[in-house]
Order: sequence, then C-alpha cells, then structure tokens
Amino acid sequence: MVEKKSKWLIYGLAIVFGMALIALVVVEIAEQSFDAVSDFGPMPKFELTDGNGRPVNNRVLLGKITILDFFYTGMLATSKEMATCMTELQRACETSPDVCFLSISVLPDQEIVFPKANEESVDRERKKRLILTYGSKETVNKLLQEIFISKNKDISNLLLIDRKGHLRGYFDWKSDAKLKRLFRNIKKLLQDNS
Amino acid sequence: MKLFQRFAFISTLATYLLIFIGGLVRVSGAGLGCPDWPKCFGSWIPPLSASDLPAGFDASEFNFTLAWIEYINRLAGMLTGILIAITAVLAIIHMRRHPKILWASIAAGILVAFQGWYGSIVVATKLKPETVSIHMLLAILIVSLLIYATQRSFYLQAEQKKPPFTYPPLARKLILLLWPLSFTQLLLGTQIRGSIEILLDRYPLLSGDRIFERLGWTVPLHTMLGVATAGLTVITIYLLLKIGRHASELVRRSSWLLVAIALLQILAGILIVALDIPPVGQVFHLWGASLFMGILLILYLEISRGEAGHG
Repeated sequence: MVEKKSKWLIYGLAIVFGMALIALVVVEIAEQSFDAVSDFGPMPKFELTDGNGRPVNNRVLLGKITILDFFYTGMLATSKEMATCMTELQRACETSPDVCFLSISVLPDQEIVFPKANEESVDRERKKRLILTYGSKETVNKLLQEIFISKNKDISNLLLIDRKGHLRGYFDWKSDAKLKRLFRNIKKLLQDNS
Repeated sequence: MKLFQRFAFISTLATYLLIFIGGLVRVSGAGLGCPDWPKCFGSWIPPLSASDLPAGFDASEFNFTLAWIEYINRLAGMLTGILIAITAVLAIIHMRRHPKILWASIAAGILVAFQGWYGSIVVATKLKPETVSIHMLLAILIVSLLIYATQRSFYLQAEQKKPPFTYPPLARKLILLLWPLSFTQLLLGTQIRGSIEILLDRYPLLSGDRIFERLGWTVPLHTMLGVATAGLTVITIYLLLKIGRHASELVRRSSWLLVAIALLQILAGILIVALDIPPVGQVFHLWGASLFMGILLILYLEISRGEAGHG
C-alpha cells in the first residue's frame, strides 16, 4: 500500500517536473526567437548645440541608453504625429532613468517651433533626460549621410544607442511592432549593462 | 458505458493540459504568433520563413518560433475539442437515462465549440486582458462540466446503496464556501495579470517590484484571500480525514492533493513577487488554481454521494 502511494507520488512529481522543464524550454526558445540587438558601429562624431546654447557632443551618450531622432517642425502634420509618439516614448521610459532622448533639428533655421529644453511644458524629470539640439546644415547633413543614407536607412527612423555610444538599431516610429522591438532591445541593453 | 467513461476522463485530462499550454502561450508572448484565425498567416500550416508569407502580411510581424508555439496550441485545442465532442456524442448514445451526465456532457460540447470561436475574438482583440480572462474562465467551466460528467458516470457502476463513508456536514459547507472563494481568487488573479499587461503597455520598462507598487489593493487582497483559502482548506481536510474517519480512497487522495496545491499556490505567489514575475511561475500559478477548483468539485461530489447515498 505504502509502495503504491509512493509510486503515485513519484509519477506525479515526475509529470510536474517534466511540465516545468517543457515550460522553461518553451519560454527560453520564445525569448531567443526575438531578434538579437544588432551593432552598427560607433555613432559618428558630432558637435551640436542645445536649446540653451551649450555644446553637445558624443560624450553626452556615454553611460546612458539613448533614443535619437531627427526632427523638423516645418511639416506640421508629420511633426505633430512624431511629437506625440516621442512624448509617448518618453512617458514609457519614465521609469528607467538610464534611458535618455536626444533630438536633432534637421533644418533649425526653418523650424516653425524650436522647442527648448527649459520649456515649461516639459516636466522636470523629462527635461533632465531630453536634449533638443541643432547644428549647422553641413554638420546635420553629414550626420544624416553617415547614419542613414550610407546604410540605406530611412532618415525618419529612431536610433537606439548603447552606453558606449554604439548604434544598436533603427526603428520606424510609425510601426507598433517596431516600437515593441525597440523596447525589447532597450530591456536587453539595460540587462546587459546592469 | 466504459467507452463514455474513458472519453470523459481523457477529455478532462486533455482540457487540463490545454489550460497549461494556453498559459504557456500567453507568458511566452506567442498569443499573437498567428495574427489571423483560424489560419496562421493565411495558411493552414504556418510559413517556415518570412519569404513564404502570402501578400498582405507584414514580414516584420512574422516570428517562426512564436507562430509555431501558437499553432501547436491551436492543434491541441482542436484535438481537445474533438475529444469533448466525441464525449458529448457518446453521452447522447449511452447516457440518455442519466440526464445530469447527458446535459453536462452536451453543455461541455457546446461550450467547447463556443470556446473555439471565442479564440478568434481573443486574437481579433489583440489579446485584450478581459477577453483572455473570459477565455480562461470558459476553460474552467468546461473542465468542471467534464469532471462532473466523468465522476457521475463512475458512480453509476458503483453499488446503488449508501457508501460506508460518513463526513461531518461542516466539511461539505466549507467546501461550498471554498469554491466561490477560489473562484474569486481566480478572478482577482486575472485582474492582476490584466493590470500588469496594461501597465507594461504604458511603461514597458517597468521592473517587477515597481509593477507591484502600482497595482494597489488587488495584490494584498489576493494574498490575504490566498492565505485564508489555504487555512480553510487545511481545516476542511482535517475535518474530513480526522473527524470523518472512514474517508474513501478518493476523498483521502483528493484531500492531500488539495492541501499540497493550496500550499504550493502560496509558494508560487511568493516566488512570482520575489523573482520579478517569472513566466513559468505564472503558468503554474494559474494551472494550480484551475486544478484546485477541479479537485474541490471532485471532493464535493464524493462527499455529497456519501451523504445522499445515491449514485
């Protein structure tokens, strides 16, 4: 009788253990199936200026995970849509102080609105992690050429940059799937560097 | 008769396995592995690579592993559905003189067909937490009907006289109390899971401890009710096994299993909070809850049989 009972107990435990093992393998395989974070090399050298006239260069990227975008407020419809998306992204990253935003104006002299970092509408926490910059036409064009055009990438994409200043991915901000991938990659970068 | 019993029993096991697989699909992020329904990327068998996708599908949405995980879930669902349908047909053939078994089997058959269709709604709403919760609650209802039909059919073979077992009436009342309590726990659990999904949708980088901070009253309530459920379970089992004495083999085995699951559920809950919501922990926590409710039903039916004295 006791033997029979312990046999059932062993069977039961074996089944549960087997199921746990299968579950672990399935979850791991699913996790591995998501794209690995690519490395597109170091971010090209840049010298820009922020909304308060202070210089901004590659050093600003070190030690942080940065989401970089090029913006232009001249085309109101698109820029509004992009601004909404960027605000959503900033809100989504509020809980991770290591994630920062760097926005570069494409045509600073033609911007309808050049949002300054010290604008009242930008709350304090976000202000610390959001740098709005501009540069000379040549500087910005050179950056666009090196980052996007030479790599056949759309210049409206968002860029993910790791703590060492390396380009780690291009993401279409109009695609929910791409934004989900962006967050998965940010999570991986956060884990890698923790 | 025996054929019905076998199919009813296998259908019950298959449904429990399907609940486990469903939980696994959810935590592995494969719920939308196939963005359409009933086909997967427009085909009855998922494509092997993004280049095989038919026109109209975004290649960036395709993930081979997730598509096949979801596809296996659908295949398992279909097989379980067929088993339950056969059980319902066998009930119509063999159980016409036993309306409780007949109608429980037919209801399970109808509900499993509805559940199959509802799967399309779950996909169409892009795994909206409420629809996923209803999908899971329907599965619990189906498995409960199957347990009822299976157990009753086994009683038909037993002697018609009153079984020689006696149980304290309070134990039966406590089981009646435990069922809505565990159902409430299940609802609360799905509510917590839904809230986590909404939070992660809004703040994808939120860590586990900060998620629980933001969930408010639901987690402490779920914990308190969990401890109360486990305590009540131990008291019930004590009454059944110590006071009731001549408990049947089924009552004894179910009782110990119930206590083990209740304690493991508390342990799983602690691990989920402590280890940043591990996916496998979530699957077993949910599966444990569904098993707990099923075993409660088995105990209730067995004790009621002892009290009422008929099969």
